[in-house]
Amino acid sequence: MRRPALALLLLLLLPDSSSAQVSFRGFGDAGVTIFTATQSFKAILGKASGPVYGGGIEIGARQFFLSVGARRFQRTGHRVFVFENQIFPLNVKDTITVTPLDLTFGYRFASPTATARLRRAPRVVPYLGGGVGWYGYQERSEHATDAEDVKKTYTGYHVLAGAEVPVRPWIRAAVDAQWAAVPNALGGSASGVANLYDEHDLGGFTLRARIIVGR
Amino acid sequence: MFLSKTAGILAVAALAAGVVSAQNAPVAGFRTFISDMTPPAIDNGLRSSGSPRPPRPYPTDLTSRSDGAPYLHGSIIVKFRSGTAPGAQRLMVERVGASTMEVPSYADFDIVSIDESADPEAAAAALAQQPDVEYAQARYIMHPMFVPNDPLYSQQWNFPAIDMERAWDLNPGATASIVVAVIDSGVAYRNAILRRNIPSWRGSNGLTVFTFPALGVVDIPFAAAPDLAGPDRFVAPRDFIWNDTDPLDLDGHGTHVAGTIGELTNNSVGVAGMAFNVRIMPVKVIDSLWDDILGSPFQGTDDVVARGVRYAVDNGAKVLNMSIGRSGPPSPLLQEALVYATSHGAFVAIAAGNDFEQGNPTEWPAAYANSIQGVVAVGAIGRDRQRSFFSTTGPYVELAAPGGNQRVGGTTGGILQQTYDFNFTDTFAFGPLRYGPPRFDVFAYQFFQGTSMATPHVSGFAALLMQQGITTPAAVEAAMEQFATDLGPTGKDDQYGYGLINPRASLRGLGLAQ
Repeated sequence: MRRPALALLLLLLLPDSSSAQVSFRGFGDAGVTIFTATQSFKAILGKASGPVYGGGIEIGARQFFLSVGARRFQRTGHRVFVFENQIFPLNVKDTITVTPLDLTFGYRFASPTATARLRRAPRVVPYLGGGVGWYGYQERSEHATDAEDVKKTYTGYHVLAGAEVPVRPWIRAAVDAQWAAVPNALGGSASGVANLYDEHDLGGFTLRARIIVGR
Repeated sequence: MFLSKTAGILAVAALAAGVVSAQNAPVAGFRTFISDMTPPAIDNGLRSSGSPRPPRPYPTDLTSRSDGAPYLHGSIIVKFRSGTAPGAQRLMVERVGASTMEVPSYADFDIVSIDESADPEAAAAALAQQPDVEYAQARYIMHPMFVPNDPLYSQQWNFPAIDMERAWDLNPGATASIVVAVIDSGVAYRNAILRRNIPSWRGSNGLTVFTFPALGVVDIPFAAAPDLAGPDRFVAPRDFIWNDTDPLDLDGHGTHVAGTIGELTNNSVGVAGMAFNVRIMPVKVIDSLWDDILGSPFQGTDDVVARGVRYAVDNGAKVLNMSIGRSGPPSPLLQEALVYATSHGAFVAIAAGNDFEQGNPTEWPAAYANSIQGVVAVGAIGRDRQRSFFSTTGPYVELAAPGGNQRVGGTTGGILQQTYDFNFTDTFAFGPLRYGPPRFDVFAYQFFQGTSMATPHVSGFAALLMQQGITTPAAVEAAMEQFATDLGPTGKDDQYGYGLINPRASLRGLGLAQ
C-alpha cells in the first residue's frame, strides 16, 4: 500500500501536476453495521446490528483516492445478567456509541477513456480500498460513576469494496461493503458481557450507501 | 429465627399440652380477639443507654437430644413412597407402635401419633426401615437465630457497609409487586386486643426454677409496628402456631427481621429497610415463650416450618426469609419444601446459624442451601467486615451480610430495627415478682445480632434483584454470588461463602465492555 500512496502524494504535491487530475469530493453515507461481537451487542442492545451515519472527504488523483471518513453508531439497551445462557435485561439503561474515524486509500477501476464517456452513458465504477481507523467507543449507563463508564479509542484496520455511479454531473451514488477489525477492544473487564462471551473485536461488517458530491 | 440457646423457644416443648394435629384450613377458636380498634402504637424511639436484657426463662422439662436439638414427644413425621396403599401405610405405622395419621395442609407428608413415652427418634428410625417409607423423622423444633443483647440505640451502619445508598439509586426499594414472606415468629402487622387467660407456669433461668403466677383473664394489646406498617403493606398473613390467619408476633424477632427487609424508608421516621416498597407476608411458624404461656396448639417443628414454606409459595411469595434453624439431624421434608419453593419461582434465604462457639454444628435447613439453586445460607459479619463470633461456618455458607458483632462493636455493633420494647413484653424477665401481662403495642429501636439479622439483608436484596429483572431463583443466587465482595481466603470459603453481598454491583449487572 505504501508505493501507491507515495505516488498519490507526489502527484498531489507536484505544483504543475495537472490540477485537472486531482479531484476533491465530499460524501455522506448511511448504512448498517453488523458487529463481530455478535453475542455481546445482542445481549445489551437486543440485536447485533444497527444503523451508522457519517460522512467525509476524498482526494483523488487518477484512479487513486484517499478518503477520511467519520461515522457514528449509537443505540441504547439495558445492562444485563447472564445465567446459564439466559439473558436477564436489568432496569439500567446502557448506551453504546461507536465513532469510527477511518483513513482509506483506494483504487477506482475507471480508465480515462471510460471517464470521458461518462457524459454519454452512466457507468458503474468499482473501487477497492483499505486503511486504518480509530474507533471511539463510549458506553454510558444510568447512575454510573465516571470510572464505570467507558470512553476509549482503539485502532483497527479495514478493507472495503464498492461501486459508484454518476447520477448528476456533480453527484454520484455509491454502495460499498466494509469489513473492519478492531482487535483487543472488548472483553477486558469482568463487568462486561464481552468478557463472558470471549468477544474482543469491536469491528464488524458495514453495508452502506453513499452520496458523493464533486468531480 | 435463630434465638440463643437460652431463648424461650425451648419453652415450646414443655408448655404444649400435647401434639395437636394440623387441620386443612385455618380454624378459629384457639384464641379470641375482642377488638381491632386499639389506641395508637407507642413508639419509645431510640434509647441512649440501657442495661443488658436478662435471658428469657425456659421450661424445666425440655426434651432435647444430646447435641441440643429439641423435639416433640407423642408424634413423628413420615412420608410414604408414592402409590403406597393406605392399608399398607397403616400396617407399617402399627408395626412401630404408632396409631393415627394426619395429613396437614401445605404438606406432602403425614404426622403420625405415637405413645407419649416412646422415643420419637427411635420410632422414626424404625419406621424409616419400612419398605415403602421415603423418610421418617422426629419433630425437631426450630428456633430463632439472633443473640439478644443490650437494647441500646445508634445508627444503621449495615447499609453503608454494603453500599446500599448507591444501590437504591439503581432500584429504590423494589415495588409492591414483590411479596416477601417472613417465615418467622410472626410480625407486628396489625392492631388487635386479645382476651386470654394466662395460667401459672414454671420456668428456669438456668440457675433457679421459678413459678410464675396465673394472671387470669387479661386483655393483651397489639399494634402494628409504626415504622413497618402501611396501606396494603401485608398480604396473606398466616399463623401455623395458632392455626389461624393472625400471625401476630409475640416475640419481636419476626418484626425486627421484617424491618430489615422492608422498613418504611424516607418517611421521616426511624430507620430504613432494604426493599422498602415490597409487600410483606407474615407466616408464623415459630412459637415464642408467650405463645407457649398462652397455650398455642402448635410449635415450631420441622413439619410446621415446611408447611409455612409451601403456604408462602402457594400464596404468591417470591422471596422467603427464613431467619430460623436448628442443629441435629437433617430433615428431608424441609429439603423437599425448599425444592418446592425454588421450583415454583421463589428464592429462599436461610440463616447459617449462630452456634460457632457451641461446637459449630451443622445447621438445618441452612445446610441444604449448597445443593439447591435458589436457596442461600447466610453468614454474618460485623461492622469490621469480619465474621461475627457466633456465625456458623461450613461448606453450605454461600454469602455473608451484616448481622452484627457486639463483642467487637459494642451494643451499636448490632443491627438496628424497630421491634417491641421488651420492657413491656418480657415481663417474666425479672422474675415472678415483677411479672405481669405483656403489651405488644409499645415499640423501640433495638440492636440485635445474629445470622437472623444478616439473612433479611439477602432477602431484601433478592427482592430488589427480582424487581430489577432477574426472575428465577437460581439466577438471583448466581447474581448475588458472582458480584459478592470476596472476604477471607480467596474464592468461596466456609466463613463467608462467596463473600459479602454487593447489591449495587449485582443490580447493575454487566455492560457490553464494562
